[in-house]
Amino acid sequence: MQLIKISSLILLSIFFVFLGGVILDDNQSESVISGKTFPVFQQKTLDGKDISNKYFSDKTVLVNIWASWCITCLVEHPFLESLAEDINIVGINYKDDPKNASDWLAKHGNFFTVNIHDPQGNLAIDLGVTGAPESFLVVNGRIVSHIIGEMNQRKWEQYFAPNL
Amino acid sequence: MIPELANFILILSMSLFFGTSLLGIYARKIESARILIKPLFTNANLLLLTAFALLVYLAVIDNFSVKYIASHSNSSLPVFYKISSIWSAHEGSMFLWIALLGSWSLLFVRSNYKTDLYITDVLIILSSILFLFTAFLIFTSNPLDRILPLSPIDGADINPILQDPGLAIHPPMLYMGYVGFIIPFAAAVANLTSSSNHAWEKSVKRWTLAAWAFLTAGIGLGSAWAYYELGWGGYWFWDPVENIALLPWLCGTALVHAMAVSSKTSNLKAWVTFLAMLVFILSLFGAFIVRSGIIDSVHTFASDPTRGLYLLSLIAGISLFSFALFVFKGFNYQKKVMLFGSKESFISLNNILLMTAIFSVFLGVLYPLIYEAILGPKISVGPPFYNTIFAPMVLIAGLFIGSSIDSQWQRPFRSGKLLKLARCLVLIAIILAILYFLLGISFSAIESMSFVAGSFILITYTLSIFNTDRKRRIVNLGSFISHFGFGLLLIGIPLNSNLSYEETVAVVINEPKQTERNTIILNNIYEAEGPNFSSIIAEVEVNPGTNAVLLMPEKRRYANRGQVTSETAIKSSFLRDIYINLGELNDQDQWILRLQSNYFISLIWGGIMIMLLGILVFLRKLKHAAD
Repeated sequence: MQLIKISSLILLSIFFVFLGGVILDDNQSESVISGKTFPVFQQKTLDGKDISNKYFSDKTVLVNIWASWCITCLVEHPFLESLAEDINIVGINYKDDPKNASDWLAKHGNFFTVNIHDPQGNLAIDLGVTGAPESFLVVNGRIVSHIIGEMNQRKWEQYFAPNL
Repeated sequence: MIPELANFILILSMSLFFGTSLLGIYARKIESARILIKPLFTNANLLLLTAFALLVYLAVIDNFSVKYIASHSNSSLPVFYKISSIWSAHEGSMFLWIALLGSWSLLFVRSNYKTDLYITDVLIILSSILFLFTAFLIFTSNPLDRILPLSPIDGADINPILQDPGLAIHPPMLYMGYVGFIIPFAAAVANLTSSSNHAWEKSVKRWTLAAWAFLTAGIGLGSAWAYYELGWGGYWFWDPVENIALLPWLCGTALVHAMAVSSKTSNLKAWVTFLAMLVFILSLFGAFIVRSGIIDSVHTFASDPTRGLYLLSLIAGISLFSFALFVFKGFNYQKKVMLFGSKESFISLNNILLMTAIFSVFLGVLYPLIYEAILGPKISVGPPFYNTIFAPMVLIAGLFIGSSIDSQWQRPFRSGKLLKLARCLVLIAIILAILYFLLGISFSAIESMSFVAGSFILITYTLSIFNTDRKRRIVNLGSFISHFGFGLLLIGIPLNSNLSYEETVAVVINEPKQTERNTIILNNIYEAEGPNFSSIIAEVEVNPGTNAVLLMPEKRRYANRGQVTSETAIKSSFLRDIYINLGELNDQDQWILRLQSNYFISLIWGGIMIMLLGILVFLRKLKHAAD
């Protein structure tokens, strides 16, 4: 009995140590994809037009992975909208139903220059995407910055703006 | 000058809380010192509240030399929003949280006249916790820091999503609930440390119920706010922050029910102690998850690892201390036999279900973290997991709640009851058949579980009104009303999820457009100016003719942040809410409108309000009993 009591307390302590580790580890890790060229792909846009990696070869764009089922995407949406005045934003609609995606855009506002439809997440795999949302800064076909999670003023200034 | 004064008062209050806990430890042995603890504690709390009042005052008079006010308020805001801007971000919400914690503690301490060893221990616990949190506020997130010598002329404005009466009340309500659980926590811990045979559950029952009522109202308001103002189109999203508010709520539910058992039958004493500790720790855990930003959610504020670590060590310390105390001292109660079919047996069974629910939600919230730490990729646990887990539990809980209505304390199950319960189930089967054959409503398995549970509660409870046996009539009106409200909620949820639908249409001004089930006309669309935003307003008529509904959805652009929000227009009736969002103008000069028909939302809000009403009735009864 005494053993059970003590081990339950030890387990609880381990749990807290684990959470502490998660917090310390939570800062942006250096992305392996940064510095590489944008992967070769051939997809459709949400409006059904063809698009390939050539699209990125001569532009500076922010690429944003989003989906209508992603609540954090809703949170970063207003901030991206304010960014859209200064930089072209290309969306990659990730593992989503096209109808839900267009409804979502109609409801919350569509500032994307173009939206690449990626229902299977194939392009996202090549980009090393782990989930939605994520954002990339692509300059003349090269990926220069990458963040995981919500885009906000702080992350923009820290990771993206210096590389423009 | 005033910010420095407020800062000074806050530091003074922190020192006094520290002093109170030291004095308390001294007074455990030296009884003559006890007379001093309560006044010291009272003063520390009054200072804390003064510092908070000063921050509110600084926000009202637009003192933008205070960094927090400069980054979250603006001189063009109405006074109401200047005040609510205080809890629109991390530092201010934390301050509000602590001020409320202090207020609850103060009220509770003042309601006890004697200062015996038990109350001394309560005071030590309360003042230590308040000391640790005021220190957290001052050292890691001080809302009174200034920008000097060059302070901004105007503030950056409050996030427009938060400029809403809903924000002004939702967080304070929710925090009132969270922090109110400090009372049962402190009482349970003090009961163990002072080894008194104090009837502590009885003395904190009212406080626990009040905290639970605030939490219920806070969660309800949050969900109404998301539905009516944010235009999310639903009332519950299983978002991590919603889930962690649900954890203390589920635990609080278990606690108030277990308290009823322990005060009526003196069963479950150790269990009540455990729950009283757990409920406050879960509340703290909620604060930690939101503040540390380790989980992505709609509620995430800018994350800062030092704050997260501080809070985590605080929670780790508090929970290890209290659970160790419980593990080594909490089991000194006589074991009592519980008869199956008695009221306490049903409540205990539901307590087990509630614990299972707590564990499942906890797992759902933390699983992505654990998965990411061990295997790498980020994943998210979504609504399907929670719906699938909750539905069967709700079904079983509903059956127990319904069966418990004419059971009695410490009396065994009567076999005659089985027949009665079976009749109710047949009746429900008939209702389901009518819904299916006459109205064409076919529920999914998950929906029908909730529907059966809800209607079972409603039927058994309604029948009990006509019970001729006096002993088996309603004994507790408050509990009757609350459970009835819960029943309404349980039938509202499946009806809503089954019947509601969405349509997106592109319309030109003055041209009626026929969709599958509605006719829509865009009568007019124009621009307008608000106090700190400009907007486009559309006048939309749905189903012109006899039951026409006029709605005016809006799109706003806020000048200071350039943020665009859409203001949903909603027309509510008992049966259905029509919900319209204004989208963009497409390249064929058509406006995109999204129309949602949400059925029986009124049952969901109504159910929650009736639950609250029941708690209030019960609280009144307890107050009479106490007087």
